[in-house]
Amino acid sequence: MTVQRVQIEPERPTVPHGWWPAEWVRHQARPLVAWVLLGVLVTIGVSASASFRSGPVLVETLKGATFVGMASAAQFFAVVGGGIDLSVGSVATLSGMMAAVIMNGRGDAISLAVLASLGIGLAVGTINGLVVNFLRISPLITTFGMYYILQGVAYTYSVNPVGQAAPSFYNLYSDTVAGIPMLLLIVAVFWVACWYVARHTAFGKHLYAVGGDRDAARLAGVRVVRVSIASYILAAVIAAMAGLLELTQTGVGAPDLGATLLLSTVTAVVIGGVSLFGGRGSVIGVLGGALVLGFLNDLFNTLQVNAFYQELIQGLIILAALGIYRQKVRGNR
Amino acid sequence: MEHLEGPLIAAHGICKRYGGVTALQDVSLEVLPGEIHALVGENGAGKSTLVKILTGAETPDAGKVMILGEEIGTLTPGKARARGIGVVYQEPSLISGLTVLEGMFLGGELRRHAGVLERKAMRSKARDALDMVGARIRLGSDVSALSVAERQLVEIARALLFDARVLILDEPSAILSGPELDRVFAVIRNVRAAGLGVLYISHRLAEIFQLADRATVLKDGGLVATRSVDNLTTDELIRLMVGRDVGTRPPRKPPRERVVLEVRKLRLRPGSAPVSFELRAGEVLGVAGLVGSSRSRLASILGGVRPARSGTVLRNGRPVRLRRPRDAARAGIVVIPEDRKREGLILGHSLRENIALAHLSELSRAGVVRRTEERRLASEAVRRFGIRPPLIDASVGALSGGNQQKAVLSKWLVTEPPPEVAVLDEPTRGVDVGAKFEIYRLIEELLGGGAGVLLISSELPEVIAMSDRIIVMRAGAIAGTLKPDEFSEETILRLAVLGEESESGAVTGDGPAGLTANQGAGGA
Repeated sequence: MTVQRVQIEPERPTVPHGWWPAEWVRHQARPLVAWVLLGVLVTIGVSASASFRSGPVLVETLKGATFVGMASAAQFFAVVGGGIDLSVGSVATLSGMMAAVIMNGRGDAISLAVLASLGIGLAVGTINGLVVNFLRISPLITTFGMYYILQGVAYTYSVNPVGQAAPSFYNLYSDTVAGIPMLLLIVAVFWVACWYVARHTAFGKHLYAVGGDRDAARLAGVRVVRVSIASYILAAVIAAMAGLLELTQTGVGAPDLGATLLLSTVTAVVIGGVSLFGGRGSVIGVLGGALVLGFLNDLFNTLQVNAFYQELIQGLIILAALGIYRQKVRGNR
Repeated sequence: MEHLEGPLIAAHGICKRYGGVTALQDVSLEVLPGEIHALVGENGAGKSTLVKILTGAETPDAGKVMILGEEIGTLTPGKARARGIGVVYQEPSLISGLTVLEGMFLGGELRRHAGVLERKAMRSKARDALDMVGARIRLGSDVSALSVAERQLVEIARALLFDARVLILDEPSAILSGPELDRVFAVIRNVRAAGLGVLYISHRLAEIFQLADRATVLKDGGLVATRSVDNLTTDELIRLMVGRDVGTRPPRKPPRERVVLEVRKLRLRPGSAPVSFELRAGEVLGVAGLVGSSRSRLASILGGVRPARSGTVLRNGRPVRLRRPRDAARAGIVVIPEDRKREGLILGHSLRENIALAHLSELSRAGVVRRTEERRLASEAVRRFGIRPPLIDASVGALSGGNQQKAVLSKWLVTEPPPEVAVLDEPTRGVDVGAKFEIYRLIEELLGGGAGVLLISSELPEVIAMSDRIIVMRAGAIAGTLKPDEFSEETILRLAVLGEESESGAVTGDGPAGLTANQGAGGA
């Protein structure tokens, strides 16, 4: 079928071309908040403690932040699509345990272990997505239920650490390539891939649209159910990858491996400027948010801050970040 | 150039019901190549529903849609676009948070393998389309930073983007005016000249005579006629739109002398003339006007939901300040909002809880709600307002539309003493005939109790039958006030569409704003 085009001469070229700094700044303002906060934390750390200044400590901090960071990226995809995934932590736990048990110290079982772990992510994400979209149960309830189910499975299997990662697998944590830690290289590639998917693919655009206004997205011809299910699958698969990542550090599959992720991923996403109502936020902001959490922990340890104050300060930071975003939203409208 | 024969898009025998309400009944429509086809009808006639069925946004209960003579199984918005249907819906459908470019291509992105976007090609196509509609907008701007008119132009450009064979525009002139609208008209005429088709929905009759080749008239969800515009006059068209039986109301005592509510120089919109009127005890003052004429804004100002820009409201001769809903309630003004689902009821709660919510302070002693009193009030409401089923503990979401509406009315009107001023915004929208008459009966009951009623309604027969006087609003101002001997649908519609001075002629260039963004007031 040939399709004919309507040709109408414009009166004059009217659409402005080119780059527009003010617009760019407005787009970047939300992730910027997290990065500015990160800068402040590093500055405080450097001026307060000599050990904070050293390269090795910095590298260790970054490596420590990779796990929460990757899980936060998982959370990002769920939240920006208008949902939330509270099961990321238990998916990571189960994925790590499963991989450790399958490997049991043998290097030739690594690929099978990795496939099995990602398979868990795929299955859990599919179930989450189907339940939310077809049974119309709210994402909060669905994934919270899933969190308990999976945590229950993990503890039923074993309350103690099980299995053993293969040496060539957990060496990833300490290996370096040309002086750069292997782990950081892998994670860097991962973050670039996430950014690319979110910003430069049709799926990414559809995800933002579905999170921003599901009805309008449907009217525009976006297959909203498919996109929504895909966001839960992506979240769970990335969470499973985060479990594997953590296994490189722990070496054994513990049933509390991902226990802290439930709140920390949501925190990182919020500090990173992602709207919990969906449709707004950026991968770069989430990376900043995850790094803020990582550095905050280290800073507390360096300055020997009382554990009670740690929680208090974290809470204040979350509220302050939300306050700043709220102000910005008002200014825009 | 492809030569197209037969209708580009056709609907046959479309029926659509929402719950108990019939939106469309056996409606057929064809858009031919090289024609501008106007779709007209009053608010609620079913125009927008028909548009949504043509584009696959809604599925009809019966009937079929044919595109280029081909029947499409289950039409979806994506399939419709792929087959050359470009549409601009009445409600804005650009998603804030996305950029203009992203919004325009949403759902139809140009992609290479693996879903990677062809940014360059997209940018240049988008620029062409925006140039076509004469919009000076940056592709990287956030949609939320655009004005309402700019968004509308972007949506029209988006409809042109995918090589549309049929362009469907649902009331673009409700938002655009002046040079922007002229530009859109030029685009529409060019589309026709290229042998393609346009389905143009508008309230403004002058536009239809300027632009259209044929017009299809809908009324109450039914098809009235499809006529060639050449041998059609404005009067004839208005008659086709409104002509129907008008019920007569039971005799009523004349309004008393006492003025219960006076509105002085209330400015509803910047730049529009201020609004002044009086409401007497025992009087129904009807408020008519098109969607977007700020009727509902008047209601929300009187209800203290929205602040007044300037002007005074007097109750029994004393000025009152209406800054929040409580102020209105204290002043004895009860406002029943138009959107009962959003503003009137908590759907998941029971009837008893909903009714009690408005009277908690009267119902409680020392901060504790007296359950027996609560039940008594709810039972009283059920009895007086005829809510069915009469179960005060069932959730209101399970009630039919008509009974929900009665629940909203009862929530506010069951008070002792009864309110002196009741503002009812579309009290009978979406309810069946039986419930309608019960609502009318309630209005009579209020009048008997000495209240004044401001009745805002899109249904002209209703306004005519119920009112003692009618004010017709247009673009935020009063276009005219009618006495009973002047009541007729023709007169009202003429005032609402054309304004007081111009009986006919150019409407397109009227005033700075035309009908602007207040689209919250539902629609066809």
